[in-house]
Amino acid sequence: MLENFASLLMGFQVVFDPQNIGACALGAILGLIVGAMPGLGSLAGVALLLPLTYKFNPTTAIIMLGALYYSNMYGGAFSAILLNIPGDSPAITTALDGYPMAKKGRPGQALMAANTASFIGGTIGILILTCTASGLAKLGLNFGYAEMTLVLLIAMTSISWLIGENPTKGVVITLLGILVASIGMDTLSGVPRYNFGSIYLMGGITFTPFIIGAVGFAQVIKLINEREADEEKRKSGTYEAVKLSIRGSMLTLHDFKRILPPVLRSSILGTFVGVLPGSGATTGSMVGYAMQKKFKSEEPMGTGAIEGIAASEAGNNSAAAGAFAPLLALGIPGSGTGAVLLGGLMMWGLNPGPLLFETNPDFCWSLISSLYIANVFTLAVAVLVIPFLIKILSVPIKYMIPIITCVCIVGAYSTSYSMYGVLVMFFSGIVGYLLDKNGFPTAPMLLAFVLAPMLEENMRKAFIASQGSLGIFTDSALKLVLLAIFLVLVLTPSVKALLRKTKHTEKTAV
Amino acid sequence: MEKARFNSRAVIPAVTAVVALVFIGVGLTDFGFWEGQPTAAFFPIIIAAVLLATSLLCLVQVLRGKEAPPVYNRNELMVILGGGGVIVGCWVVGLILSCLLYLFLWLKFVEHAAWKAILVIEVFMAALILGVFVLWMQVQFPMGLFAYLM
Repeated sequence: MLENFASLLMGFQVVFDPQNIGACALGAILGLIVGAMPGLGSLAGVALLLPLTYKFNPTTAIIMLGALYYSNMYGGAFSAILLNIPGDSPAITTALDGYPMAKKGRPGQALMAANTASFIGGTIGILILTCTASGLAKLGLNFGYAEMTLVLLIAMTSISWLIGENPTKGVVITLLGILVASIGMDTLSGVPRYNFGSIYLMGGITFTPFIIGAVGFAQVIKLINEREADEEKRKSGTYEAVKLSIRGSMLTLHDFKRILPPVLRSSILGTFVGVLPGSGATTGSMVGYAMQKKFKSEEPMGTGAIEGIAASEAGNNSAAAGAFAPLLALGIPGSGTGAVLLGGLMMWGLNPGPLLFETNPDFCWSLISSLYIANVFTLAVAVLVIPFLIKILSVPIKYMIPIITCVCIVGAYSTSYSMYGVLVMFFSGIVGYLLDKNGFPTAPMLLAFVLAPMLEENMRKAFIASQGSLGIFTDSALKLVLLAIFLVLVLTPSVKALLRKTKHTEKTAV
Repeated sequence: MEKARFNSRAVIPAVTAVVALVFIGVGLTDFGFWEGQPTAAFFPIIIAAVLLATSLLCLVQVLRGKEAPPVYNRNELMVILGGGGVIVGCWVVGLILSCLLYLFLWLKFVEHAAWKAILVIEVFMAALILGVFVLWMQVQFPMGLFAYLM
């Protein structure tokens, strides 16, 4: 444990370089703004801002990405509380009490409660990450190709089940993401595959343009449907421009006493939820909010209870921190945003996994320490921008549509230096839009796209080592446990559906 | 018995099933599956086989389900056409000019925005593209036909 804190101090030395501090501050400000924009959210935000990090060295770039990711979580609460439009899915539960509280005439306190809860939740999450990340990595070092194959299969399966309402759709999209990732040069044999004669496809589907399109451009296409409602609100005069000051937003001692217990509970629970592959910040906020419902609140939950805002925000920020543990130690992202971060790390030649803490300790610990700094920066920025952010939130959707479209195109080109990247962005945007429109979640596709090369490499190496024998996946207790978890995850939805059907048949027979 | 309905919800699993078949076919024809060790198509073929099975299962679920087909509207198509227009414009007038032209046309003729708003957004985007991407990140954007004139 002490060793971890010593490494953390070393990480702080790296972070306190002026360039890194600047990148961290810039990431915090941009992330907050993008996260606050209705309909964009952390995933699209990180994807759109990824090209900006190209100018920096890997450590600075990742510090900026970490700050972006973190401040996005704060930003989502702004539009949820002030406009009842969650900036991102983790802020959905924040809107349940945040907006009613704002309607009751306390928007400033609602924002301040969200910021305070986010800060405390985030700090607890990062502390737990500091204590457990390298331990998890050491455990990971015992994992061979077969174990890693099983862990990756578990991660992909749990992601498919957890995201979306229909597990079958989740699996279809996950598998599609894997196949898309397999286009291009085979990394093990060096043979081009599935490029259908195209020299562009030989290099594979470029990661950043693919993500910008599937998330950012797809979001713009969907955003147009909110344009008319936004315009009607503005024309009819029901759109309320809120005026806020920092002094008028301060929490009273009584407010602070009310938010502290839910914040502490949700932070601890949220961190452990975040560590689980596939759960992420959305699950963290929902679990935190659901738990708060079991406890007493001064006002009923859903009617503007400050405890509800605190539980939700602490849950999502701590889960966001917790998600870094499997991301760094095992190379498994906990969410779509985590997948973008993982892609960013890989782009810089860093392979997250058990060896990362051994080969690049300065990088790992500077990233973790940058999260502490990012948390402090974001809190300061989030409090200071309260009066100004209102202006950004009031930018009409009709102006955001062409602006974001241009950002997507310029971003896609600048990350690939080719019109091929722009075309990848455009077509993946249309595919992402069509999938979403038809009830297919896109997040599993992104996660699978990032994880697929790792899964393939481990699986093929396992088969080469065993000369094709499946026995390599069952020859130790650990592998059997992992295999059992995988099978349970695969079979649970089918068994549940079967039980539901039997129940339904019995009911109709009665 | 209720009649199965084929709508765009069913198109997606049908397309993924076809994609799976293509990956299996191309993989087996060009690379094979196992030649003393896994070939380059070993992994994609396994994934494609599972995708084929789940796509068919999904197709059956969708056809049996009672979900209403999604409603598409003209505005969504407009955004796609706008994005496509910028890309085509990149080959003609270059990427930067194409983006600025698109912004103007969209704001003026689709959104009927005021001149002041158009000017502010144009200046903001020009500053963003030129300042951040061209000057700071030193990205050389395509110039379209202007490249031949220079």
